Amino acid sequence: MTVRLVASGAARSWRGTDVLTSVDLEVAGGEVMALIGPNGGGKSTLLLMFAGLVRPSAGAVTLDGTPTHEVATSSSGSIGLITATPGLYPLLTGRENLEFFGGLYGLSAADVSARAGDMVRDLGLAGVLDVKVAAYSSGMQQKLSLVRAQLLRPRVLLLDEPTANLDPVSTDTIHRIVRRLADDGMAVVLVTHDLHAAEWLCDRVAVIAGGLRAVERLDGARVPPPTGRLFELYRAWATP
Amino acid sequence: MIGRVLHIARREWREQLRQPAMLAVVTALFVAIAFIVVSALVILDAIAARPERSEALGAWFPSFTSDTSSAVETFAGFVVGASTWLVFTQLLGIVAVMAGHAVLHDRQVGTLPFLLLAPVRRIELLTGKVLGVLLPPLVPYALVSGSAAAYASTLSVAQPHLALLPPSPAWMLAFLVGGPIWAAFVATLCAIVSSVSHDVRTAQQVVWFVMFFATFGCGYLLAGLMPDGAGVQAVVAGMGAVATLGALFAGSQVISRDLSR
Repeated sequence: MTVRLVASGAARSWRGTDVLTSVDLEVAGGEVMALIGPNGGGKSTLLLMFAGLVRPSAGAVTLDGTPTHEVATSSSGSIGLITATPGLYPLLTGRENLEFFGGLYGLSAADVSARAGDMVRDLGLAGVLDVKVAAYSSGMQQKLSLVRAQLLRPRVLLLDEPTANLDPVSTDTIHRIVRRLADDGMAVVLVTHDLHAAEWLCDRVAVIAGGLRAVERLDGARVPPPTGRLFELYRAWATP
Repeated sequence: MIGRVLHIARREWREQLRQPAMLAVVTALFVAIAFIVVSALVILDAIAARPERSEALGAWFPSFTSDTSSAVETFAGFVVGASTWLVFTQLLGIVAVMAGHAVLHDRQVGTLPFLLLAPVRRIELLTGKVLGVLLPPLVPYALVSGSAAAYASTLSVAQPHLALLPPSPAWMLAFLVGGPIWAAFVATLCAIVSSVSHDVRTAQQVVWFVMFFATFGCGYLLAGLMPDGAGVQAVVAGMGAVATLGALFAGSQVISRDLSR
């Protein structure tokens, strides 16, 4: 069954100030929805509402009919989250981080290893998995964060500027994986300021500026992923 | 539930083991207290054993000349009493400081949303954090302070004060049960503070406030009431257990899954 993430009249105010006014938005499995808009416009707040980590002051946000803040407390692991800050323990190794977060969902170390194995290799993390995260570059941390989000095979993936501060090749890798996950049936919501990425990666884009201003379908308008002489030069010489 | 609590606590222990400087400082504090107390008692023991040294002491401190042996005994009693007070208050203080960063650390490194997103009950999260900060200081507390107290109890100058030293039942109860339980209480309070604080400075200020009252209050219950015997210490430990459970329950209601709060 296709997953449905729905915001119905979702609003959030903070100390008397409206951060987000009534938002009606639906994201279905198999599509990537971009949330774009100015800083402070409420994109991240809406994303956290989708995650169930911020409760709407009015309206509702549901995942298949269940309020997302209730989904978050269940053991389903239906929602995967990637934030701009990778959210990893710097003194633990990559493997220990994965085992810790997997363990919160009842996964054993063997389960974690089995589930993460392919993606760890695809993302080039296999050689550094036993190195402390403090020694990772921003890109490596974000890739590990993506692996963590995938451990539970979530039905929804929420990404808050996951490629901020990443180099073009790491950004491209993450975008391609996200697209592949959506094509496999996952519902993906991506907060981004990268309009080019939004255009080639996403099926629809929602403009959020204190509320929902517009929703645009991008089918057919998809532009090619980053290519060209400079990108290839970068890939050839700047990728370890 | 126990599995998840220990899972969270183990991660805390693992991180702390990778901060050897922090563990060294905590251990050094207990070593310093033990060294000062044992040294003072050994010196007093030597003075009490040799009358001519008592006379020399009397020359330096005229008030000793009236009844030197009584003065040495009184001073030894002061040292023993002060040592129990110091050990308990320092344990509580260290635990308070460590717990004051427990949840805040997750907010700072960005792991809090992922903890809140996981199917972990808030009381499990809080209990795991409290256990996580409790164990590292308890190891040097038990080993260093316990060994020092056991050695002190063998000195002749300490014999009139054995009610405050091992193996007296009151000391055993206070040191092995009451101290850790009240440390858990203080850790819970400070972990709650760290969970509602959004920055280090606020957390530190509130932790200091809690620590002031907690160390004096709990220090009095543990060290001050130790001469009243094992029965009183059993009651003190029981009170600590009830207070800790109450604080864990209250704290689990305070920690919000809503990140905007």
